[in-house]
Amino acid sequence: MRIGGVGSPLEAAKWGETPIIKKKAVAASQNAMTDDFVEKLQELARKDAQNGVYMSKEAINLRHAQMGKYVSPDRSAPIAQMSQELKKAAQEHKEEQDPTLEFLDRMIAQLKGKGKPSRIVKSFSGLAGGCSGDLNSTPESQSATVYSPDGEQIAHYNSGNIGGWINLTTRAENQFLGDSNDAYKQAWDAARAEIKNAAQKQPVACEGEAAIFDVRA
Amino acid sequence: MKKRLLAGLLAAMMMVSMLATTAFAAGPVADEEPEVYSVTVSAADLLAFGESSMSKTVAPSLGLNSGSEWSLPVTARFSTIPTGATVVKVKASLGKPTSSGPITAVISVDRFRLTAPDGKSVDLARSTMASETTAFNGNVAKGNWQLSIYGQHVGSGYSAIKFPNATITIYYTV
Repeated sequence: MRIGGVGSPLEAAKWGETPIIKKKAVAASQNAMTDDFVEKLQELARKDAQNGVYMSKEAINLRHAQMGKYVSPDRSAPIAQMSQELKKAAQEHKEEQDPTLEFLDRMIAQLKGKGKPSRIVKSFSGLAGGCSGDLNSTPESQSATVYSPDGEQIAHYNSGNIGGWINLTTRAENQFLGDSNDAYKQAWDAARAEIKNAAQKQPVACEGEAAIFDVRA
Repeated sequence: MKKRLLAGLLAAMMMVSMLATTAFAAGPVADEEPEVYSVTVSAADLLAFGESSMSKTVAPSLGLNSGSEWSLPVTARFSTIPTGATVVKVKASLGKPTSSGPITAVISVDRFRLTAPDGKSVDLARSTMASETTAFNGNVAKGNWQLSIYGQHVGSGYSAIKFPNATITIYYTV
C-alpha cells in the first residue's frame, strides 16, 4: 500500500526510500552478518529450539549488539547537540516572558515594525557524524528531528513524549533485523525438524505390548 | 496285556503333558510387566495445524502546535501467544479518530509505524480498511508490539488527535 507524500527526493530520503539508502542498507546488513556472528546466532537458535522457545532474549540481544556495532548510526552525538539547541530555544522563550524584557522587546519590535516571534524554527547541518537536524519550538511544546547524512530520519524529539527522544529504525537496521531473523529461523527450523524426527523414530509398540502417550503442556 | 499297558501309559503321558502346557495364547501372565514404549510430545506440537490469531486494542494520540511529528509509541502486550510462535501476517487498523482543539487546526495522519518485539519496524499507510503486512513473517510473535502515528499539523493553534480503537492483529503459527 503506497504511502502518500513520498514524492520529492528529500521526502523519500526522510523515509529511507531513495535508491542510495536502499542500496547502502543491503550492503550494511551484509557487512554485519559476519561468520562469527552467524555461527553464534545459529548456536542460540539450536539451543532455543531445544527449549521450545523462538527468539530468546539472548538471541535478540546478540542481534542488537551486532546491529549497534556495524549498522546503527551514531545517534548520541547529534542528539546531544540538538538537545543543547532545544535548551537554548526554551531559554529564549523564557527570556521573552520576562515582563521587563517583554516590554522592551515589544517597544523595539514596534519601532522596527516587526512582531515578536512566538515560535522558533531552525535547521542545522554539520552535526556530528555528518547528520543534520531541525527543531520547532513554542513556549508550550518543542519538537526536533535528527537526520542521517543521507537525509533519513534517525531520531525524533517531542516534549510530549516521556523521555523526550525516540530512536527511529533506519532502513539499514530493518534490513539487518530481517536478514539476521532469516538466518536464525533457518537454524531454528532445522533444529526443530531434527527433534521431531528423533521423536518419531522411537520404536512402535508391538502386539501384546502397551504404549503410553504423554502430553506435556 | 503288554499292549494295553503300553497304551494306557501313553495315554497317561499325553494327559500329563497337556496339563503342564501353559496357555500362551491367553495373554501375559499376571505377574509379568508388559514392555512399554513412551513418547513425550509437547502440547504445542499437537496444535500445529494452521494459523491462530490474537488482537489487541491500543490508543495512540498526538498533540501538535505545528510541524510534523511521531507520537509516543503505544504498547500492545501479546504475552499469551505460545512461546515458539512465529508471525505469518500482521494486520493493523487505526479506526476512527477523535479530535480536540479549535476548528482552525487539524492534524492529518497518513501513516503509522508498527514495531515488533525484536525492534524491526514497518510503516503502513492509514486507510479505511485494515492495513496488512507480511514484512514481519518469521519474526517472533510473542512479546510487546508498538504502534505510533505520524501526524502533520495543518492550520493554526494547538490540536490533538486520538485513535481510541486502533487494533493490532498478529497471525501466527506454532
